[in-house]
Amino acid sequence: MFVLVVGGGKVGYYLAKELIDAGHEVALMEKDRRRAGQIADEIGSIVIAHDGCEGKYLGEAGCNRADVVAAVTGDDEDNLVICQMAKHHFDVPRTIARVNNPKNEALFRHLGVDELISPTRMILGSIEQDIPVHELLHLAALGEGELEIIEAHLQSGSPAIGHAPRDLAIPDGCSLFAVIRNGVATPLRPDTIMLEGDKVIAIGNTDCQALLHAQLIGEALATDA
Amino acid sequence: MSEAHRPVFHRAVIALNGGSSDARIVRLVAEQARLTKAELIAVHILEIDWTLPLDADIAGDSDEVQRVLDSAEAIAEESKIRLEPVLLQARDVGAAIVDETVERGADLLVVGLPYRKRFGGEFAIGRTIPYILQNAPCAVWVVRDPISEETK
Amino acid sequence: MKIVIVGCGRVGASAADLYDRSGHDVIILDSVTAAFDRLPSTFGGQAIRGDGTDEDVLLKAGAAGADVFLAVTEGDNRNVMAAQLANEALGISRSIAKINDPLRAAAYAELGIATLCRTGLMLDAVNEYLALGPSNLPGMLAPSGHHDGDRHDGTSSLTRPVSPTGASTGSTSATTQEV
Repeated sequence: MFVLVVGGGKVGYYLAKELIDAGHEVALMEKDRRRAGQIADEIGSIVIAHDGCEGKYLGEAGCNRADVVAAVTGDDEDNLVICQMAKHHFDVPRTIARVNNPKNEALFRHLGVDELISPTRMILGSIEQDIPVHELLHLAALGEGELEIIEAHLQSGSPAIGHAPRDLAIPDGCSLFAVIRNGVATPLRPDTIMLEGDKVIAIGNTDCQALLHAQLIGEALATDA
Repeated sequence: MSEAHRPVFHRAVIALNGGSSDARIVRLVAEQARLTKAELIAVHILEIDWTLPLDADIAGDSDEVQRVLDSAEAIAEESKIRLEPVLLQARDVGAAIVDETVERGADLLVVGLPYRKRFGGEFAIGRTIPYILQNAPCAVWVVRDPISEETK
Repeated sequence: MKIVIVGCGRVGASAADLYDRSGHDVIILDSVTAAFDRLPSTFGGQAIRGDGTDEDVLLKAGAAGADVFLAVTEGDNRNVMAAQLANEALGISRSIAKINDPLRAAAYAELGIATLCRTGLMLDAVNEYLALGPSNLPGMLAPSGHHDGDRHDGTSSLTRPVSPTGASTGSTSATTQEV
């Protein structure tokens, strides 16, 4: 694959390095000449010392034959424009943008960016996972954001303990599909009995979460989280 | 030149650029190489811009490229020295020359430098020569063309 | 008309003053308070410090429901993003972005926003003065297409309720400055 990476900060630098190690063809655009020179010294002649937002330079960088364009500069607006130019002007099949402000995710997706990477969102998610909460954890959003992968940590008081999924009133549009027990993930079958300490992984639309919360977390503990 | 001051090398990489300096540097190095029976490798690098993949078939179609390598070989032959022609496609000429020199374990790198002025102003050395001078591990000879040839 | 202007440089400040004096309801934003020094003391509209590419800031500034949105900061991409945000999230159909790169200006006109490129505008003006033909470079371009977002009916699919307190905006909170 030919991957065009725009932005030679830490993310762009390590991304380019990893992609090269994985055997891909990589070009990296970095507008700061000094930074571009540093990267070229370290990983070789893959650096184009021009602004990837400028249409002319995107063209010279071979954007028209790129399989993937990854816009990973520190500025959301630059990443948006790079991806839109790549997609609509150069017909790049796959565009990936780094998004710093999580609020921009919906707009970027709506405007045609194929994939979004949000460091802010990821760190937030990680912090939430470290804190034992009596709440559903939102692990990932799928598609346009209407579907989510959710984790429920079954703690004492959960009405699900001692029961199997088929005994519960699982809302429509929602599926319990895996359980993590003692660090081991296994498929959650309709007759698997759930135990205290289990982490149940579910996929479902945003509407069914209140019901899911009641079934897996329980009402009593939900309030003292 | 006394024997003591004669430059000694065993394997030299000559960087060709397709210009008038090619014949001059090949002849110079070939004459020196006769004395030590040194190996000569002439490298011609085609810079491929990013709109094409690095392995695009550019060199294969080009008579000009073949001519550059053939004439280098012919000049070396006049001095009864064998010269290995090498053709490479690269994104950056300077880095490719240095890489090839390192890979071949050469102890001499010879490059020609056309005399150029930038937009009618000052002498311009370009990017490649400074890169080579800074990065090549072995001895480097830079042979600059006479001013009259290029500026006429 | 209600007109929102992002970027209080020479163009932004002149536009704000002009539209204010002709009786329009003007809101101008800039991320640097000092930029508002360019506005005349007679300016009767609102000058708000904030980032015009931040949806929360635009909503708090009262940009929703505007008739015209004009993004004229120094950064092409900030203008592009602000105009698309206005268009998609705030439902302002007449959004104009200043884009100095002719290639980007042409591309975004095709993507459904009006673009303004000084390269073409200036050369056309020079050529007109010299009685030469048009430059054929992008100048003021009307949107010629629509990007592939799912909104085609004039309603905004991105508009969503925002907490009335705006408590989540943190450091980007806009402050109103009386000029």
